[in-house]
Amino acid sequence: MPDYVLALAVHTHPSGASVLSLTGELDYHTAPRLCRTVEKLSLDAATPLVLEVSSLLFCDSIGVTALLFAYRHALAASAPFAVAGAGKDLAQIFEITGIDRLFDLHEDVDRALAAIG
Amino acid sequence: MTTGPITDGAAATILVLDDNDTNRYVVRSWLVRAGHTVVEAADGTEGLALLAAARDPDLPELAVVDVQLPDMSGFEVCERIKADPRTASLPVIHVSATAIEVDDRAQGLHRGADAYLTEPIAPSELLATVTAALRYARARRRAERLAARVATLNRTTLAVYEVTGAEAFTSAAAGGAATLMASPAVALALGPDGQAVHVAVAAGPTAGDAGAPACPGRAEAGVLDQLTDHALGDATGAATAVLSGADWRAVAGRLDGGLADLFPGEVAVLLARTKQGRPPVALAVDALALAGPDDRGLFSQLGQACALALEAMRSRSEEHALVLTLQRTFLPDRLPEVAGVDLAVRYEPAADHAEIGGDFYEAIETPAGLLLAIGDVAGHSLKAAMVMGELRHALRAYAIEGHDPQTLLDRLDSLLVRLRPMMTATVCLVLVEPGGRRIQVANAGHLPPLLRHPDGSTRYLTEHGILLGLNLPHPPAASHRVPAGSTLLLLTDGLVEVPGEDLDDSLAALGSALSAAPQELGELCDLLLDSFGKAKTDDIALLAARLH
Repeated sequence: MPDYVLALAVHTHPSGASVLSLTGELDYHTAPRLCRTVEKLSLDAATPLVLEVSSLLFCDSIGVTALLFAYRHALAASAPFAVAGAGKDLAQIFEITGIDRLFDLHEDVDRALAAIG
Repeated sequence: MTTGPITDGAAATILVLDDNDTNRYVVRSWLVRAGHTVVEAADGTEGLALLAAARDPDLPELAVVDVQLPDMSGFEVCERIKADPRTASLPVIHVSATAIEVDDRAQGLHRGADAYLTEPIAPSELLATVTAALRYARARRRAERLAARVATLNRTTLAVYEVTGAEAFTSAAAGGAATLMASPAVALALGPDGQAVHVAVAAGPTAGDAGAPACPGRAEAGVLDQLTDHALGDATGAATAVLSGADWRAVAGRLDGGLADLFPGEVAVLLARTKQGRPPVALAVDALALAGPDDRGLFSQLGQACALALEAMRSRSEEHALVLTLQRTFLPDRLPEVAGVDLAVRYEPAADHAEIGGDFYEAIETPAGLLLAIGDVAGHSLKAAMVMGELRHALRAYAIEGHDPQTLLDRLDSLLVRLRPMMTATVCLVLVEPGGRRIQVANAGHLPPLLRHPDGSTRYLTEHGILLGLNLPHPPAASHRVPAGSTLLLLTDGLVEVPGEDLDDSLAALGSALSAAPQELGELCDLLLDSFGKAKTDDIALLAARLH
């Protein structure tokens, strides 16, 4: 059985934003854990959520659904939402699925926060 | 040290270690009169050498050691006996001459001795002490052996649950039975296909270089029925029968591979099943291996563990087959025949056990032309497959009403948001207008369709909107002129998305492959699946259309 690895790290940015870093693969095996982690975050209009995905190596359609879950969770809490550090592949998946129209992609966390904060 | 069943009061082989010939003679005669066997040594070196040289079955079960020996003290001898793992559980009884201080006695016991007798020793006292020490040592050895066997049982239980496939299962069961029962062992179980009985053999621990006979592999199903006639019948649980050599040979005659002579005498056969009406698992070992109550209990537990594991394996296999059958019913059972358009589809379920994807395809004749569709409901579950079925049927219903592709996507989006909140799906629709010279592409977040021109050049039709499930509007369909002889390929991401591979590269490679692919659609699909569908963990759906 192959290893399905996704590392999740949450930290609070000095500005107060929640930054969730994803490292590894986001797919059928790991997506539920992202959803559970996002659900536990307390977000509000003053606490934006930034997903830091520069080390996310793989994301399939179930991974996209999990990212959308995070987006909708932030939206429901009126929290600003952004994705930072998406590589070429991930950006292309966002483009194909059309979800790049829902939120902006930023180079890094600071730029994302400058844009949405 | 024998490991077979020994009653606590049975006679033992005892080492008498004393440099005084008279004392040794006296002690020996008392022990022999009580039925014990005695081996003698005159000093520590000789005594330890004797223990080291003894083969396991001949190892003394107890040592009577004089405290004062010429070469070393009896205490030291005792310490060395207890330090060697092979003799650590050998009880030691010290004997010493009179005028020994209380401290010496305490020292002897502190340094490992099990008893300490001071002369004058009465025969009855020595014999009673020997009996008590043997009782304790034998109980301890039995407990240690049982603990080791329970560990073996646990390991085997894990092994039979971990394996996939009937062949690996019977191998694990036979190997576990051979180790647990210290006997050659045979395991039989009906494979998940319900046809062939899988047979595995394991040599016992005493097998020579020849080991077990070659694994016979398979046998006809009737052999299990024949065994259930001896034990268990139609009942559930576990039952053991002892078969005569002749009865066993009647069974073994139906299994190739020389199993008839695997056992020297009678054969214990255990049958176990967890549910009524299910084929049982069968284990066979030498009947002599079932002499004690521990043996019978452990063997029975092994049988039940195997039966549970087999049932779990069978359930998984049945579930997977059921899910695949269900999934097939959600997909079209035939494609429409439309003048001027050839169609071919391929559907490859994910390889993983009991995982099921939500890929789908569809081809429907509508008033506005032939509507082709491909889609993917995110998820590997029965739910994803069911939602796929719902979407596909909804698409048919809306398409028959004559809606344009953009409206169809909006309707499907509304339906998904209302009926299945939090689920998403990507769908790509291609309407081939009557005459086949123009197509309309409406893509909700799905991989773009790939078009091959008659000259072999390919391009992706990339206009698209957002995926379904977000309650967002979709753009109008994009219209493309297609020359006669064009080929259109709709696909799901299982064909091109691979961890560690660049998606752009995969899409470009697919474009090149389609350029060079044969004209015939079936061959074309098979070639693409062969080149791109290897080692994929996701479902793959392909729909190819040739427009004349």
